[in-house]
Amino acid sequence: MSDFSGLIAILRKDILIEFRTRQALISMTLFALLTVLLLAFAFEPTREETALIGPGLLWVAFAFAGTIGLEHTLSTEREEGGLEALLLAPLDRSTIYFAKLIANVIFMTVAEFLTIPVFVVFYNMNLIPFLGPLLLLNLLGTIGFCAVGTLLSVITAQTKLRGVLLPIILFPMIVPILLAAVEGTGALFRGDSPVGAFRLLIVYDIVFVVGGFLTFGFVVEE
Amino acid sequence: MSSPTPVEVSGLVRKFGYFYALDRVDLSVQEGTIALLLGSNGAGKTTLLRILAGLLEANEGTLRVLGLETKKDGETIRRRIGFLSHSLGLYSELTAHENLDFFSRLYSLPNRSRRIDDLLEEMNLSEWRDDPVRNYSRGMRQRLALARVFLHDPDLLLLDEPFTGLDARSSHVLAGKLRASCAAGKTVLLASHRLDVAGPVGDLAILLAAGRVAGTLDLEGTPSGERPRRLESFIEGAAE
Amino acid sequence: MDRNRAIIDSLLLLLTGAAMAVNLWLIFYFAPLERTMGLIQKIFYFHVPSAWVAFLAFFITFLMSIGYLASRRDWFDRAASSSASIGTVFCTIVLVTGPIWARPVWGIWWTWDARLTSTLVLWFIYVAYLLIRSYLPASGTKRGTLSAVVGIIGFLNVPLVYMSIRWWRTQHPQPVIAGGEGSGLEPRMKLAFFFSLAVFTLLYAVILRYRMRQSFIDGRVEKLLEERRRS
Repeated sequence: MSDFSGLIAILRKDILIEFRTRQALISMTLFALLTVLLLAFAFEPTREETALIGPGLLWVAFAFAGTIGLEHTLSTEREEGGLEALLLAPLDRSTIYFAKLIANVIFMTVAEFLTIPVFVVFYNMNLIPFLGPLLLLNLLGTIGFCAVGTLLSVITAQTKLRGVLLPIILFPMIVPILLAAVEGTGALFRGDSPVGAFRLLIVYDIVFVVGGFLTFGFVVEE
Repeated sequence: MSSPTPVEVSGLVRKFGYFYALDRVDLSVQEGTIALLLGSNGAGKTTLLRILAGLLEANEGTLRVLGLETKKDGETIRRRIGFLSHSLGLYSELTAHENLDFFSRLYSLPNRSRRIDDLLEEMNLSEWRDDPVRNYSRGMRQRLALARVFLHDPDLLLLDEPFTGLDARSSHVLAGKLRASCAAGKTVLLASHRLDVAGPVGDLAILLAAGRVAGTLDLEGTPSGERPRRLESFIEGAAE
Repeated sequence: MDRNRAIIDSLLLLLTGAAMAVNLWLIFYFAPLERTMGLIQKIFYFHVPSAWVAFLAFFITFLMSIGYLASRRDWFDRAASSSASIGTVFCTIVLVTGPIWARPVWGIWWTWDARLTSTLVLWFIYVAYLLIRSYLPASGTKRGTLSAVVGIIGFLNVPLVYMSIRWWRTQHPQPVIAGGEGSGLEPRMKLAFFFSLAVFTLLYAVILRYRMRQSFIDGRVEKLLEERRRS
């Protein structure tokens, strides 16, 4: 029970800090929007092409923005001696992992929600008919992304290069998410069944949430 | 019922690569004692405190904190110790009150706001209660970090250089608080270079040199005023 | 001790060298020329065993990483990282030999099919593993622990990457890899192929032995440097 209230306390603290500084959200959303914009310039997609490459564009933007978000949630802790303050609390290590994971998922989801409408306008798309499944797909992808990202960001933060290495290890790791999200969203656009994508994302989420849960303790202890 | 020895360590070894930060350390600290951990930079004081706090793992040796094993009962131990480290563990975007509120939630403490206000008063920070910590001076941060350490009324206090950045008045307040804690049956292990302020409160001095216990000195019979001088000659004596 | 080791070393090197010579003979003289592909098909006797060694090496890294986290013994860390670096080299060989073969046979250098793409992703993961490792302090347990976690998480990703890409690109033709079940390989080709597989595995084992020894020597050098820094 104390672990659950500890988890809530950490989440509450992270959201409070973010609410005060808004640093993570602003930088994530701006970065995602800029990526969408640059890709629009680079490819000049027509309407039909957008339906084809749109989901991919969106997820590339999310992946970039998400990396920034992961870095940021960690830097609020790093400022004062890494995760030390949390490690001293009477909590299981995995509670800290779940708290950070949930915080990352929340921030990334908000940034996605701010990006999607702009994307819709830029690319003249109509997402309303399948908004529900699309958001669920995004949420599952975001959970997987953050499950791996939370763990790896704590690892790369301990290298001499700090955050520079994070995308280098994170991006090959999230290939399945990218493919599932792209293919799933594509299926939605075409009116096909996205079940395969959901299945893959759920397997991915389970594997890496469990993997993160089991290994996080090693990553923070010396 | 006699309670277990708060700190009991034997044959403790901690290596960093091939460097021995602690090399077979044996020591025990009895309940209600303020033990001073002395020694030059790199003697192993911080390493020892971090191992006791469960932030570092020992390579060898046995270790009992509050009668419990650090590996098995980490959570219980963490609930009952207060650790002040070099990095103060405060969030600079939050106010003093919010910082302490966060930590008291982590420890699921009852009567949070009263306890926080009392501590802020004691540490002379009430006036800046709602200022974000990023505007604080070094001394104020130190005081707030100390308030955090005392927050959950721990049975064992592990303090690494607690007098850093404190003015005479705050040092005095801290010394008084440490004595009061001891009288209430708490135990303190305190690493410091400041013999002038740390010396008078110590009941026991443990001198570390190159990762080993170079000597211990019982100060209980010595009047407070004379303790710093005795400590100085003790350190000099051990160096020869 | 040292003498025994030297004898084992020489025997192993001799055996591997001889086996490799026999292997080359089997591949280039014994096995017949493939009718349609011609000489270029010979690359498969190197390509597929390299792929096998790469996967084996990464699997060993995975196992040794678990071993390290469970025991905290330096040996496991050195085995894991040595195996990962060898695996990366063989993975590179796969990625280079593949397109050389594909260009004349398929008419393209590269196709985004499941095997090719997952090998490429795998290569990125283990290069990142080695990179992260190189930026962690050599002294202390941090490097071992953190790279072990990357070694485990990275390997968990392998089947997922493969699954996802296969499902993403089912329309692509399955690569015509010689040696698959029921591929009706000519008996002499089969012999050369499996012999090559065995020789490459032996080669991996021998390189691993040397790589680990080198890693221990690195550790000793690090220790001496550190002692010097501190004195």
